[in-house]
Amino acid sequence: MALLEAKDIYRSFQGFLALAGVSLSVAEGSFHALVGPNGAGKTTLFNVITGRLRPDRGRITYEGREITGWPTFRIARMGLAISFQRAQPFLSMTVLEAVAVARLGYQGRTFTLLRPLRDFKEALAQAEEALQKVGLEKQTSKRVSELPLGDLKRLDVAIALAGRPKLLLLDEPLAGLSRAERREMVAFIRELLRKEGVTLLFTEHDTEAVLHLADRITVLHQGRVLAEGSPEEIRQNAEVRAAFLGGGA
Amino acid sequence: MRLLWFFIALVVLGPWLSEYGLKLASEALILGLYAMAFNLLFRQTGLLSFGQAAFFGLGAYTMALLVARGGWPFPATLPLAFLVSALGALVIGFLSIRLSRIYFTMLTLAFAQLLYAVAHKWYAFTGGDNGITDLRPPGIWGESLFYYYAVLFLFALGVFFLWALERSPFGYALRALRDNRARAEAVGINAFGHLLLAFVISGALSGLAGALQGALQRSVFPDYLFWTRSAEAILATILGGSGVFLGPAIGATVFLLLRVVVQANTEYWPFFLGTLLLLMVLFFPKGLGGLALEMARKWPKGERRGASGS
Amino acid sequence: MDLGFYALQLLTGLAYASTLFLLSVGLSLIFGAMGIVNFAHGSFYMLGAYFLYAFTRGQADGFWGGLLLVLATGFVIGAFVERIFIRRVYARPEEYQILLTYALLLIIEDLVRFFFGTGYRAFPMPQAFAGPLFLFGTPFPSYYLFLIGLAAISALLLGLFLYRTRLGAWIRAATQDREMLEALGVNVPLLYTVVFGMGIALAALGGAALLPMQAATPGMAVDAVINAFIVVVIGGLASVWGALLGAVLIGLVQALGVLFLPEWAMVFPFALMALVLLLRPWGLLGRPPAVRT
Repeated sequence: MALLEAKDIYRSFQGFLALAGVSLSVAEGSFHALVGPNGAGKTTLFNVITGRLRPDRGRITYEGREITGWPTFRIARMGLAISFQRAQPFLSMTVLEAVAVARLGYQGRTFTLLRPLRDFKEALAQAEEALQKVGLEKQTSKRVSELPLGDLKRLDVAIALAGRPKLLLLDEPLAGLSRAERREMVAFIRELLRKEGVTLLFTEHDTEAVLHLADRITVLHQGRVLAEGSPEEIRQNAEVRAAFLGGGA
Repeated sequence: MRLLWFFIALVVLGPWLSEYGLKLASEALILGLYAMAFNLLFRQTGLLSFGQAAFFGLGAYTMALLVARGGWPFPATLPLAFLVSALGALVIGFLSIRLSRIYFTMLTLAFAQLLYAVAHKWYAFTGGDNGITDLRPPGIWGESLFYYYAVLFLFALGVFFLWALERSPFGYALRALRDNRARAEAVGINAFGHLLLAFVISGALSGLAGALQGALQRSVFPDYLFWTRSAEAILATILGGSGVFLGPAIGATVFLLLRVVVQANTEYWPFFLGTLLLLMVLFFPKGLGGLALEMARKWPKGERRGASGS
Repeated sequence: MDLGFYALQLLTGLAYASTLFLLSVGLSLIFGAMGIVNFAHGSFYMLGAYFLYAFTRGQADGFWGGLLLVLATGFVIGAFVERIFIRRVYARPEEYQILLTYALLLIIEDLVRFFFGTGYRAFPMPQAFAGPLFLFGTPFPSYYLFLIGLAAISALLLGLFLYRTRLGAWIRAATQDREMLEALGVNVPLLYTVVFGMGIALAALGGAALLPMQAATPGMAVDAVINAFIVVVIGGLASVWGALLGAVLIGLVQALGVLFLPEWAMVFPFALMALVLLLRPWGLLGRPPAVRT
């Protein structure tokens, strides 16, 4: 059963066609990677799916429901968790506060004006739980601005998980990490999400990491789907080899 | 807790002040409320509004028209002033918040000037340049000491409300939006809705301040809506420090004292204001409150310079 | 109502639009290329008018020389202000940049009051435009044609400058991607000074050109910057054509408003701006913002 489907997405920017009829289907429980060289349209497609951009043409459905053109916050409340490229969440807050406000945000309960945040025991408990899953439970009172990059990324995942999502969307989750950190992050994500039963769609241009992490890979090239399949199929796909060797990844 | 002592001090201060002192103190509290309403936007959301006078004036005129034309008792006009300003903020905010912050700033100024022009020209309704005068609230409300306590009470109410807001999920949502808007939206926070509500709250409190000022001054003129009135809230905030919770209130007091002194000696108050703002922006962006906090940090024990409150 | 009457209103609107264009195009370029909202922009417009008065001592025969002098002075003052004040807040959050120019607005307004007093400063019509011209039998001030011509020529020259010179290309590039410009080795600080100076010079010219038709007062600065901003919102940022279109639209809307609903004519520009904001927030000729990642 396809959890998320994008059908025939077109999007252009002032004459430049960034996406030319891209279709994508993410099966429930899978780890789905969206790869391609820079400029291929991965981030554009990501932004379209997450509601930051409207497609010129095409449809997006989640659990069978149409979410094309929905604003980001509505999509988030449906059980999709989104994390963007440069993980810099809520620098002025403490770690716990950041995750707690995320939890309340997903629930749509942030219009409460007079009760203090610390009264929301359930949200705080959920936040602690999420932080525990990413290994940050000891840092709850640290200010987000003081966290090193690796911890920031974990915090980002915790924030994403605070809403108990079914689908997690990550844009270049490995950007800025060293080779060793990447392997760590890959293992961490894989284990965490399998345990939580969360489906994952992520963009990445580090092909090696993708081959190890994903069940299914969609390769974009110049706004079109070049190939789609299992890591084995992609590895052996001649067109993909040509595109990657030629354009560099 | 320091907040509580601060208010107690103000309560005790009342009977010791002269008639003039009471008027000045009331005005400082009103300006303080007005500036804190401005700072709700500036500090928590990052929105810089140059049109707060629109709501200050709306509140003032609502009170004035109800009292002068409608014969309403003064206290009853206050909730209405609050509501009318909130409504005005809803309309103006709806149009202004949709865009980037810079457009927002200019738009709020533009709308405020529009309201000023309307108040100026609509002679039949607002009395135009002559304003609405002779607004002395009858009975006990007309007495300076009582009025001072009433203003103090409302100021405390406003401050407490803002304080609670900061600690609420709503306050955190605003901070999330300010820190990283995209990320906040990605966790389900409706940016437009939250910012609009903040703007409405800010406008409503500004309107309350305007109504109180109108009764204090016994008259309401179109200049309540003029852009220099918006500047007062901004200057008081910058002077006192936007980053400190009570900074705007402190700044308002200093501002008022400065104005009394400067206006007694020269008519070029805007020049002085502009120069002061220039210096603050260039050299002391954290304001007096921020400076005081920094100094308090450097003196671990013993003397604290000046009562900076909060 | 005869044709001449309508034609006169139309012409009045266009003449007004011409000064609006000169005022607004600088604001648009400064904002587009430098990212600075120049709150004091209307102040320099006002200074242009006052300087013309001062340079010519209120005598009409100094008009042409005075205009050129105002243009040059505007550029120098703009460059000076940029170097001394604006430059210091580039690294700061944009709110502080706005506050800085706001402070300048306050200061300049009182400076004008100090040096020129609070009354009106009127300027007699230059001899060349003393007599009226006729359109459909209705007389109109020939000065209108001068204003329209001035705006048209300025737009043309500005367009040529931006699209046919290297400096102009850099300025246009700055409106799109400032960081890349630096990476290419362009002297960005100097570019900023030039852009700011140019914007101020144009505004000053606009104010000066308006003087024979409308007396100068210290209060005109704020109204001017608001009008300029309305034009920029409607026309779109960093676009000379946008400024022209916006100015013309506002001029016409204002003129028509005076014809049909004179009491509420001043509301119409705001209404038009609100409409544009609801339907096409980046302006009629502006570029819709790309998503920031």
